[in-house]
Amino acid sequence: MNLIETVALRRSGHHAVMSWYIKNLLGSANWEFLVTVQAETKSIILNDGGYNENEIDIIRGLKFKPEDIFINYEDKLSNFTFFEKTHIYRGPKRLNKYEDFIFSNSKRIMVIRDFYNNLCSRITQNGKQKKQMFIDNTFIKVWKNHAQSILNNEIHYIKYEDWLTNYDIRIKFLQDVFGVKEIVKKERAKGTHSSYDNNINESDYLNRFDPTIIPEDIKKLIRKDNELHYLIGALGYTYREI
Amino acid sequence: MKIIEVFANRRSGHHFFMSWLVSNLSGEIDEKIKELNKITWINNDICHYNDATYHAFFNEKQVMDEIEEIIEKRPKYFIINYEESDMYNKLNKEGTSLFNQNPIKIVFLRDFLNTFASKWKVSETDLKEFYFGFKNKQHIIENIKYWKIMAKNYLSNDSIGIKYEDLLTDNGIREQFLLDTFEVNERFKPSIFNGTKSSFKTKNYNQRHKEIDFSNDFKNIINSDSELNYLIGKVDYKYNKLV
Repeated sequence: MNLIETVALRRSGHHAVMSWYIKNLLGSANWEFLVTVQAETKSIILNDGGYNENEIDIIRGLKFKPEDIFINYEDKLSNFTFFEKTHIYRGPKRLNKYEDFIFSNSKRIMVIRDFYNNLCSRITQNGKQKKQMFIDNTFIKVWKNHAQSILNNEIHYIKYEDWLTNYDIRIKFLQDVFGVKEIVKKERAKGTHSSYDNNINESDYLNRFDPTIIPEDIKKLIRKDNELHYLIGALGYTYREI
Repeated sequence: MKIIEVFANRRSGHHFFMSWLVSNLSGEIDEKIKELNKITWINNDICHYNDATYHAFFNEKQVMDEIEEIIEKRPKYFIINYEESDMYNKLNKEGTSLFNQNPIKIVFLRDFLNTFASKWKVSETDLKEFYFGFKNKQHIIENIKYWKIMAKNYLSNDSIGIKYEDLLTDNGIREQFLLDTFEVNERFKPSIFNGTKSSFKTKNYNQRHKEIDFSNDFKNIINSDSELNYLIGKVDYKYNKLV
């Protein structure tokens, strides 16, 4: 059995990125349900997984034993895994929480997005739904944790912005992580609904930053967080005054 | 003739860098640059103008005239270095031949804390008069600004960047820099050169900030400068938290 785990913050664009690489592996990618079997394959996607045993029971209830599990963890720390007893990733040979889920291959991927665009997208989306995503100090902490794990070279990663705009980085990621070429172009990838209604150009996805929607207490936290600014720089993102 | 402009912060090791560069361009070990004279003819082919920004502060016209005179003599390499200077706003070059020569712009960068530690140290020793001391808060702010300017120079597409740390430790980066920029091989390694006098006892070039008891003013200023921390990350240095 193969396990492909993706770690990302909500509204980071990770569904679009996942859709793209899964389509390049399977030809299709759907996540209608918590667990969705991919047509004519023995692959499943466990969307926003890692919460309870019920997910495992659903997989056990399938008529076949899956060959591939694609699972994404949302708003979790970079070392989170569902398949280790303590939920802390320690290495591929320790993904042994369930005796009937033994993985011969596993990969871990992180999708990261510009701090300010990710934050503003979450704030905008919060205005449209009941279920609220954290936009406070926890968001800052998790974003920093993700950025740090990338800089420490602990996980495969792709920046959402590079995926969207940089062909060379995109195909190199696909080649390095999965050993395949890009058959399905990114334009055919489909994420979840955007938090915005006016997406006309690709650049719209890169320009969500709007300082006027960021609450003043969050601005204060951001301004005084030197490490955050360091990490934004180290990942090659733009400096912004708020 | 190649005009080479070197931009660097004071105490960043740039004289050591220029000595290494000149030696590899000329094929002879340079002993002159560290003497810090304003104009030095290394040999008939190479001339060095030291710290043009500093001299221009007192008499810009004279600096420009001297630069013109050197250019008229057509050395093979003419190296001008500028300290603490924005590469887009250094001297009034309009109307001078330097303006039309399309110089090679090299930005030499050293990590913030160790550059600052070195400045701090010399401000307490025999170079005190030159560095004015770091008791003055405004002086700290000025020097942080200079490092930020240099980091932005380094990130510019108009410059070729090289770091002090890579010069000391990375053969590959060093060799590639010489080949790509000047089409020469490295004949002399940095280990055989001395720059200006070091301010520290320790030989460990990236731990020198630990010898300094930075003032609370300094810590407060850098802890509230988000752009500084952003730039440290952007130019790929390590994050050091000063408590």
